[in-house]
Amino acid sequence: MNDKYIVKLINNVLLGVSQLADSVPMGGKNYLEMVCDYYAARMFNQYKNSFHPASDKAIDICHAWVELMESEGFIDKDVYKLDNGGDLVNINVNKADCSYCEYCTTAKAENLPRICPRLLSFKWLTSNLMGQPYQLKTEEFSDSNWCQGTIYPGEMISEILTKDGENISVAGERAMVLSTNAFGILVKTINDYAPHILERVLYESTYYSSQVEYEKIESHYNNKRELIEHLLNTIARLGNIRYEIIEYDDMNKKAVVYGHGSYLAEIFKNNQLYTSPKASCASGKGRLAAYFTKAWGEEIVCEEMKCEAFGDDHCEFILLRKNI
Amino acid sequence: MNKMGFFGIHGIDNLLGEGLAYGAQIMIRGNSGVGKSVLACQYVKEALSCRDNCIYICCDESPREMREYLKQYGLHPLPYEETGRLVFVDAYSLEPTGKNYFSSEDGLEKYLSLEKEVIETMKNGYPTRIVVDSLSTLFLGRDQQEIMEFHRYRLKLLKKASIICLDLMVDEVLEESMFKLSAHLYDVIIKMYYTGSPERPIRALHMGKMKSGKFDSSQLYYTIDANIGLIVMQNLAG
Repeated sequence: MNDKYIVKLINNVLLGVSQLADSVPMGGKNYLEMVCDYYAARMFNQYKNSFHPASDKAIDICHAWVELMESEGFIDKDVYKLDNGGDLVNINVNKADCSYCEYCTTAKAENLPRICPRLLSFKWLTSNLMGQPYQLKTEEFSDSNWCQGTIYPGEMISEILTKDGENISVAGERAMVLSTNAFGILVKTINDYAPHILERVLYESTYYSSQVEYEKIESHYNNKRELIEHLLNTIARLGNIRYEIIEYDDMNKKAVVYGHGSYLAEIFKNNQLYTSPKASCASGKGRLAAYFTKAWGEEIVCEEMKCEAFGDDHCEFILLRKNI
Repeated sequence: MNKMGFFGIHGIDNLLGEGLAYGAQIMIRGNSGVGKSVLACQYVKEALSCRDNCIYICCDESPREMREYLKQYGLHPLPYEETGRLVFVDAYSLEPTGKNYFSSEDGLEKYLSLEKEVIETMKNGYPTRIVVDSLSTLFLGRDQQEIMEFHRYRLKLLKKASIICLDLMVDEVLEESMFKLSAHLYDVIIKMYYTGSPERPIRALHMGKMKSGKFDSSQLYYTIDANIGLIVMQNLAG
C-alpha cells in the first residue's frame, strides 16, 4: 500500500464516521470526539514508555508528545507551533501537509460534523495526564496556512446518548427511547381521565425539566443565545423538534422561534386529542419559556401562533415578557 | 367537514356534541362571582388556539384587567392583539385609552355600528367569535322595547356573518322577564349558580336551550382552579 492510498483510506474512513455520527440520535461532534479519544489513548499507550515531558505542565506535555511523534517518524515537528498561555496552550498546525485535509474540507462542504484529530489528541493528553478535564476550542482562518486551537481546563458538556451496561444514558442520566405511539397512548390516557390538566402537564413538566437542562450547562457559556442554541440543537438531535431562532431581541426581551417536525403536533393529530384542530405544542412552549426565562432573568411566556397540527409548514413560537 | 366551535372545557364540550356552528349564539347567565368571566377567558383561549379571531367587549372590567385574567389562564394576549386576531372594546373605562370604546351614555345604535366596524377590521380569513362581558350592563337604564329590538337585530346580524357570539348576563342586573324574553333568541344557554348549603356552596351549571317555553338542560358541577379555570366534575354530572 502506498502513502497516497493510506491517506485516501483514512480520510474516507473519517468521513464515514462523520456520516454515522450525523445519522444517529444525539450523535454529531461528540461521537467524533469519542473516536479521537480512543485513538489518542491507543497511540499513547503504545508509546508511553518513550514519553518524557519536562514537567507536568500542559505546555510541556504537549511538547513531549510532538517530540515523541516526530521521533517515531509520524510527523514533522515544525508543522506544530505551541505557545504557553498559563493553563492554556495555543496550538497552531500548518495546513500545508495535513493528512486530514480532504476529510476536513469535504465534511465542511457536506455540512457533516467534523473534528481535527491532530488538535484533539492534545486535549486527550492533557485531560488524562493532568488530572482535570481539558477542552478544545478551534479556529479556522481561510486566509492563513495555519489552523489554530486552544486547549484549556474546563468541564465537557456531556450530552451524548451512550450505552451504560444494559441501560442507555443521555448526559449521564438513565434515558429511554419512547415511540410516538407509546407517548401518544400516555397522552391519550391523561386526556381520557383528566383532560383539564393535559395542557398543564405537558407545559409544566417540560418547563421544569428544561430549567434543569439550562442550569447544567449554564457555566459553559457567556453568550446566552449560543447557550439556547446549544440546548435547542440537543432537542433536535433527540428527534423531538428542530427549532430555528428567527428573531432574538434580548434588549426588548422578545424572540420568534420556528419549530419543524413537532412530535406533539403529530401525536395530537394522530390520536384526535382535540375536538377541533388547535395549536398543540404545549411542551415546546414550556421548553422555550424556560430557556428564555433563564437566559433573560425575568418571566418570559410563549405563545404558539402557527402549528403543524393545522397543516402549517412549521410551528411559530413568540417569546415575550409576561409583564407587558 | 365544517369547522365547529367549542369552549375548550371538557364536560361542557361533551354536552355540545359536534360543537357550535359558526353563527351560533350563546347566553351565559349567573350571579356575580359565579365564574362567567373565567368561562369567557377559557373560551377566548380556545378560540385563539383554534385560530379564530376574537372580539372581547369589556363592560364590567377594563381591557387591562381582562388581559391580566387571560395571562392568569395561560394566554398572553399581546401577540394576538398585534396580529389583529384579538380586539378589546372598552365599554367600561370612564376615560378609555384604546381606539375601540363605547360609553354607557351612547345609544345602542352606536354600539351596533362599533361592533360592525370592529368585525370588519378582521379580514384575515379566519372565523370570528365575539364575547360581551356583560351584555346586561349595556342594557342598564334602557327601555325594555329598545333592548329587545336591539337584541333581535344584533343577533340576526351576527348569525348572518357566521360569528359565534357569547353574551354574558348578570342575574342581579336584569329583570327575570327580560331573560325569559331573550332566552329564545339563543341557541345555547348556560345558567351558572351556587347550590348546596350556604356554609358549603357548590358551583353548578345548567346547559341547554329553550324548547316550547321550557328550559331543556343538563346539569354539571364545576370548580374553579386559579390557573386552569373551570373544571367540570365529570363523575358528578347531574
